[in-house]
Formats: sequence, C-alpha cells, structure tokens
Amino acid sequence: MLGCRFFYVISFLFLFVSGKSQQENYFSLSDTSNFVSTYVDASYNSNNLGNKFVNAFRNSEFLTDELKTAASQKLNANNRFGGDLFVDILAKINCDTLFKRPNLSLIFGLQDREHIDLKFSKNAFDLMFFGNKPFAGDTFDLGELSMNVYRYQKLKIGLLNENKEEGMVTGIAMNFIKGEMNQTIYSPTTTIYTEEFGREVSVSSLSVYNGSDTTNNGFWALNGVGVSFDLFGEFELRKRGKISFYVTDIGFINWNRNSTTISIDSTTVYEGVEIDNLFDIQSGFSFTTDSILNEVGASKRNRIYMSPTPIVFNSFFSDTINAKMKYTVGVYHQLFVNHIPKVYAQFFWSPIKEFTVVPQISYGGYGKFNSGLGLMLNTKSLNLVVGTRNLESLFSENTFGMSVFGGLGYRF
Amino acid sequence: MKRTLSILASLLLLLAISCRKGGVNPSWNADYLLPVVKTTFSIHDIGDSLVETDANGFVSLVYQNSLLDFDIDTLVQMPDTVITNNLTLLPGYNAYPSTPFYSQNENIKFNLGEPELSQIIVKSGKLTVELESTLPEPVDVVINVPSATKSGVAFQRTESVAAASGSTNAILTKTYDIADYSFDMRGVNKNSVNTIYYNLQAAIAASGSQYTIKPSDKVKVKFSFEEVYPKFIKGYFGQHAETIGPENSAFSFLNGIDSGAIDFEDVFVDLEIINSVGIDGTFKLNQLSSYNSRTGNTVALNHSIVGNTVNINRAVKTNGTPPVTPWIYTQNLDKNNSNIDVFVENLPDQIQYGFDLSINPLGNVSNGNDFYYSDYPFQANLNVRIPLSLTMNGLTMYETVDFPYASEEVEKFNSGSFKLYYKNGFPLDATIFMEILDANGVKIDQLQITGNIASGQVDASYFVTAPTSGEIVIPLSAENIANFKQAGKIRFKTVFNTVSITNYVKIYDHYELELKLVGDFNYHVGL
Repeated sequence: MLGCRFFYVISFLFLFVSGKSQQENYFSLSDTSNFVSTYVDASYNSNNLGNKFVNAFRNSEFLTDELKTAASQKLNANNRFGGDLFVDILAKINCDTLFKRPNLSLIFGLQDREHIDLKFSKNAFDLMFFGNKPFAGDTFDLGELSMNVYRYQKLKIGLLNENKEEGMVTGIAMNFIKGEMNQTIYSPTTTIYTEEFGREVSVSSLSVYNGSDTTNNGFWALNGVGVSFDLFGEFELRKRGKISFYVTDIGFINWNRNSTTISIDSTTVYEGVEIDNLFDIQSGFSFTTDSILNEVGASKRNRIYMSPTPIVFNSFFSDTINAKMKYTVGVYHQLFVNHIPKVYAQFFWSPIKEFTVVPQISYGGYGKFNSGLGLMLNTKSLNLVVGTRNLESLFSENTFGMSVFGGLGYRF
Repeated sequence: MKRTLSILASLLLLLAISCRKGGVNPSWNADYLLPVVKTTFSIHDIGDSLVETDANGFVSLVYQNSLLDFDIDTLVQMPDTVITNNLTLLPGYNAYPSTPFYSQNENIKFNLGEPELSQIIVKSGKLTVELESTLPEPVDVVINVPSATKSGVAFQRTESVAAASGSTNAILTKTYDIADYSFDMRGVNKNSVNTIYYNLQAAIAASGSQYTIKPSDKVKVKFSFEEVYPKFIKGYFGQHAETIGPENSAFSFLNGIDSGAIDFEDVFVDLEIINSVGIDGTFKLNQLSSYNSRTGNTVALNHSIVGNTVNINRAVKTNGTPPVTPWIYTQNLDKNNSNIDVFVENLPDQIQYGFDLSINPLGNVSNGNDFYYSDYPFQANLNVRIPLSLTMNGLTMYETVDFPYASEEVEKFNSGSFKLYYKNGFPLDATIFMEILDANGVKIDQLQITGNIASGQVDASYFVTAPTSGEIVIPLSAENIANFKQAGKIRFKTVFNTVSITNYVKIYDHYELELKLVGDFNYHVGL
C-alpha cells in the first residue's frame, strides 16, 4: 500500500497538474500535498518521415538531394507527421475549508503550447522538395493534404475533488487562452498537371487555408482569444486497479479580423501572367502573391474565424503488482488533428523507494511502433522525472520520432 | 541533490527550446518548369485610335499631331485691375440708420491696350472688395453691378463695416468668385468699350445711431479683379502679328524605334488649320521639319505651302451647339507633291516648325464683332495616315523595364534558362536581345539568346497563309545570375525585318503574334 501511495504522489505532480496534455501515463492520480511544478515535453513523430530528414529540417540545414530522395523513398500515399511542445508551470493548493469541502483543492497554471501536424502524400512531398519539373508531362495527384499549426498560451484555474473513501478523484479546470498563431490547410483533393514543356500548369484543387495575422508575431502577439476546459477522473475498481481519464483543451480560439482565409475550388489552367499589351511589358513582371492566387482562381479575404483547440484524450488502466512494480495500459489521442489513437503500455519498477524506472512501448499517434524510458527521482519534497518515448532514436537516425520530457516539482 | 536537480531541469528546458526553429531556416534546391508570362500581340494593341482598317482588313496607321493650339486670350488679356473709390461725403449731413447717405453710379475702365471689348464671360476669376470706414457707427454698403449678370441676375452684395474705434478705421475685405458672370463692357450708356459700371450705396446700419458726418470722415471702397480668364470674348481684338517658332513638338507616333530602315509604300499627311475664332488673319508656314534626335538627322518638308501665305477666314457664330462653325483649311501632302514619305521615314521623334500669324490685318472689319470661345481655339494639326504596306530592314526598337527581382531573390536562382515559345502570324521576323543594365542604365551583361522569331508562312504576295511556331532559348549562366544581383533594368532590343525587304509587305488586322515565356530553373527554396 505504501508503494501505491508513492506512485500516486509523483503522478500528481507530473500529470494532472500539467494538464495531462502530455502523452501517455506515467502515474495515476492521487495526492493531497501542496506543490508547485514545471514540466516540459517536446516531441515529434511520423509514421514514414524518418528522423534523419526531420532533424536536418529542424536544424535548418540544407536538404541535399540525397537526403530528400532517401526520405521520399520511405513515403507512401498516406503519411503523418506531428509535433508538440508543452511548457507548464503549475501549482496546487489544498484548501481544507474551501466550500466546507476538505477534499477540494485549487489548481493554477500557465501553459505554452506549440503544435504542428501534417497529413500528406508522397507526391505532395516530392512536389515541395523536388519542384514540378520532374513531373512535367504527367498529372500527379497530391491526395489529401491537411496541416494544423497552433501556438497559444493559457491560464488555468481548476478545482480538484479527492474522495478517498470512494476511491475517486475528479476535477475540472478552465483555461483562458491567448492565441498567438494558427495556420490550417485542408485540401481533400488536388491534382496538378505540368505540360511537357512547361507552357501550362493545370491545377484542380479543393482547398481551404485559414491563418492568423502573420504581421503580428512573437510570444506576446495576441491574434485570438479562446477558452477551453479540462476534465479528469480517476476511479478505483472494486477488485483491483484504477481507471483514469483525462480530456484537456475542450474549447475554441476565436482568431481576430486580421486573419486570412483563402479558398480554392476550381480547375485552373495557368499559362503565365498575361500581358495585355506588348508595349507595357513591365506589368508582366510585377508578380505578387495576390496576382498568382488570382490566376489560380483563389478567393482571399480577411475575416474572423474560429478553430477548435486540439483536444487531448488519455484513458488508461493501472494496477500494482507489488510494492516495487506497477503497470498501466492505455489509449492516447488528439482530436481535430491528424493523430490516430495510440495504444501504450508502461511498466514501473522501483528498485529503491527514491528511484523508479519506467520502460514503455506504444503504437500509433503520429508514428508507428516506439519504445520509451522514463526515470523518476523522488525525495520528501522534490520530484524529478526525465525520459523519452522514442528510445530507439538515441541509437539511430534511421528511426521515426524523437521526444524528451522532464519535470521538477516541489511539495510543501 | 537540489543543485543537481536544478541543473537537470535547466538542461531539459534548454533541450526543449532548442527543438524550435532558429533564425536560419531549412533550405533546399528544387527544379521548376513554369509559365511566366504570355501575351498575344495584334496591330490593334498599339491603340484602336491609331488603327484604321479597310474592308479587307488592311491596316493603316493614323495619328494626329497638334502643332499649335493657340488661345486668343494670350493676345487679349484681362490684366489684374485695382480701382479705389473714395466716396464723396457731405460734412454736416445727418445720416440716419437705413437711409443712404451716399448713392452713386460709377465706371471701371480696363486698360486692355488696342482691343476694344464689349462683352466678357468669365471662365474663372476673383473680385475682392475692401471697405474702409472712419465713421464711429456701423455702415452698410450695397455693391450693385448691373452690367455683371449670371443666369440673368445682376451681381449685388450688401456688406457691413463695423464702427471705427477712435483713430482705428474699420476695414472689411470680401472675395467673390465671378466665374460664369457675363460682363457688359459698354458702360452705363452702352456706348463705351472695356468699361463696366456699378452703383454704390452707403448707409448707417440699422443697429447704429444717427450720425452727423464730419469733414474728416471717409468711406473707401477698393475693387480688385484678379486672375480673370474668359470663356467668351466679344469686341474688336486689335491687330496682331506674331512670329512663332522655330519650336519643337514631340512626335510620339514612332516612339521606340531606334535605327534601321523602314520604307512605306504610301504616306498621306494633311496639314490642317482650324480657325474657330471670329477673327480674320493670315498664316505662313516658315518651316516644317522632322527631326530624329537619335540620329541627329533632319528632313525639311518640301511643299508649296512652306513659305506661302494662307489667308484665314473668320469662324461663324451659330448661337447654337456647337457655338461656332470653324473655318478649316486643309493641305494634302503625299509622295507626289512633297517629300512627306522621306519626312516620315526619317523616324522623327520631334517635329520642328515655325510660322507667322497675323490677326485682323485689315483692322476692325467686323465692327466690333470679333469673338472667341475658350473651348474653340485656333489650331494647326498634322494628320498622318500611313497604309501599312512597307518594308523593314533591321528596324530596331528598344524597350527598357525595371528589373523585377531584388538581389536576395536573384541569389535563389541556381541555374536554368528561359524559353520563349512563339506563334508568329506576321510577315516579319524578329531577333531579340536582352541586355542587363545597372541602376544607372549602364550595360553590365547581355544574355546569349539562341534563335529568332521566324516570319509567318507567306504566299507570292507576301500574305501570311499560316503562322510559324518555334522557340527561343535564353540560357542563364552562373555569370548571368551573378550579374543579375547588380541589375537595375532590362533592355529589350528587337530587330525586325519584313519577309521581303525589296517588295512591299501588307499588314492585316487579323495577324497575331503569340508569345509565352517559360522558366526552367533550379531554385533555392528557403522557408
């Protein structure tokens, strides 16, 4: 029982209070201590786009033809890529007298969230990184293309109710969101035909782009406001184990009137910018983004639009084996983005009371099969966790996905 | 232990932040094959107003070059005029409120020199009235100009001058817009010229008190006519003799042609004099030359009109719309009676001219009925009509445009070429040169263009039976691209030759030249 308690203590620090927007479950939920914590989780993954290419891209390197070709050869018609960066600061204050409910606690937090996800075809990748010339004379289908990019910051205020007698912990939190940046593209179908000699390019596309104000950038930029809610619960089962769930960021962001929407629903044959008069050829060289959008039949307008926040769902079953071992199995998912449900299993082993090793395996999400490892250190007042969900990436670049997470908590 | 944990946490944060993109972005090279610009040229693109076609579609170019647009108001000017009227007051006169203590008709005579005008309708102008009073009571002044009417209503204004204070006179200044006013310049008795009359009344204002005028009292009214331009004048405009020129008039008809030879089968030019003014006169063309500033070559017109005096008859007033029937004199110039073909084939960009113009050489024969409407001046035009049956031999045209890309954009081009695809339906071939100039217009590079635009296929009469298609390659070497970084402009030089340079080739309005520029290049893409 003491071992279970130990697991509960550190779980609270690094999961619930950090919004549980991180991935998988390291711990269950239960503790009544006051604490402050900080947590960082950075990750990206893909089912087909290898780390060698992604790392070169992420490190702003020049992408050689060899690198692009190797990456392209691993792609198929349906590729996913996604990444998240969470930075949390959180505090929990037990208020024994609050509302005359001694089990209630107040939660305060700040979070910066950056997210990107993509769904794309091999053809889309090849068009972007090799240009259209290799496909001259052919019609190529870009397939379904979807992209979501978010960055926002939120202020969290919540309540936690811990009913130890019933073995149940429930909570709700409200997040006030400052929207910094958003770009979404959804194109269920696009085909492009480049005439053999490049004399015309035919584009048939059904696409919508929404983007926040690109002229107002940076961490302090306020381009939208929103609100979201977090729900969570943890229920001890009669026989053994617990069922837990976390649903975070159920809400929306309203992006301001300087946002841009571009819609294309047409088949356009582009033959170059038309010069009305050969005696005024200067005008033919005056390309602008707007003039090219106009050529491909796109409508562009500034307008307010609303986007749902990418909801994070995590549900898992956990049970202790003995005082030194525990396991969890669960499902993690992000809604409204190109994520697929990820199933995972974790094993917790504490050779000594202050130290726990957490190996894990998972399948799904933005990637496929991944293995991970977490290390936890727990003292009377301080807790530390570090780990990765992509252990294999430490040993080879011919893998998919990288991640690192870690947190530090102080209990008082 | 705490220290170790703090360091570890800091490293974690650093690691997470490092995953984000820095100031330098990823980049790669990609190959693009894209249409850049396209155009279809027909003879109508030079401007429909410049093109005439006959029933067979045979094209003539027409162009009117104005040599002279002579406003008669340069001869009959309304000078800015200031008239000051010190009202004569009776000392000891008891002036009561609202009862005029002064009322008098007055004349203003304008100094116009020889012209004797009986009517002016003003196009634009101002009348400023300055009132000054020493009376210690407020004074109302009524300005009435019966000879100035607008829509049948005479000009009348009542202005109030405040009471003078001690030794400080009261002054009031008002400016009126007199546009569209018609001024009868015959004076109060309708038997004068250059004269308008008006009536002034002065009275103590109704808000004032009875006042006995003192010998030192005065009321002064100053009229200023400023910047008066007429839209209509009537009268006798006087005798004038003007020698105009030699002067240059821009001749934009053949702009852009730099060198080479062009030979037109026919050239027709009408020298046209349009007199819409109600005056008689004489006109003598002293000189008419075409001047090509690029070659420095001048061709003087040889025709009997040069050096001979033409009598000009007066226009007739219609009292309708249009208000005048102009007198028109036309002299036709062609290859048979002049050297007008050589004159035009000199490819002038300027026309040099000089002439003598005499107005009313016989004096006031109209008995004061000369007239002038500002919208109907005296004009001299050259009306050019050139049937496009011609030969061209190395006719060279230039067009310079700003270089469209900034230096940092140019750096993204690694290598490549442009291809110009054409479909030529004209009986001309063309060779294109592209020169890269710096911002000061100094040539820094020339692109090595291979091929030329071949003429359309023609029959025995040089009529195009089918267009010719082909392509011109414009390779961009690394050196070219490097030079682009200093580029400020691109100069296109095009050399034209007709399919025959010995037989005249006709141009029809259905001939077209289709051009499409395609870029084929390796480009450095950076996010």
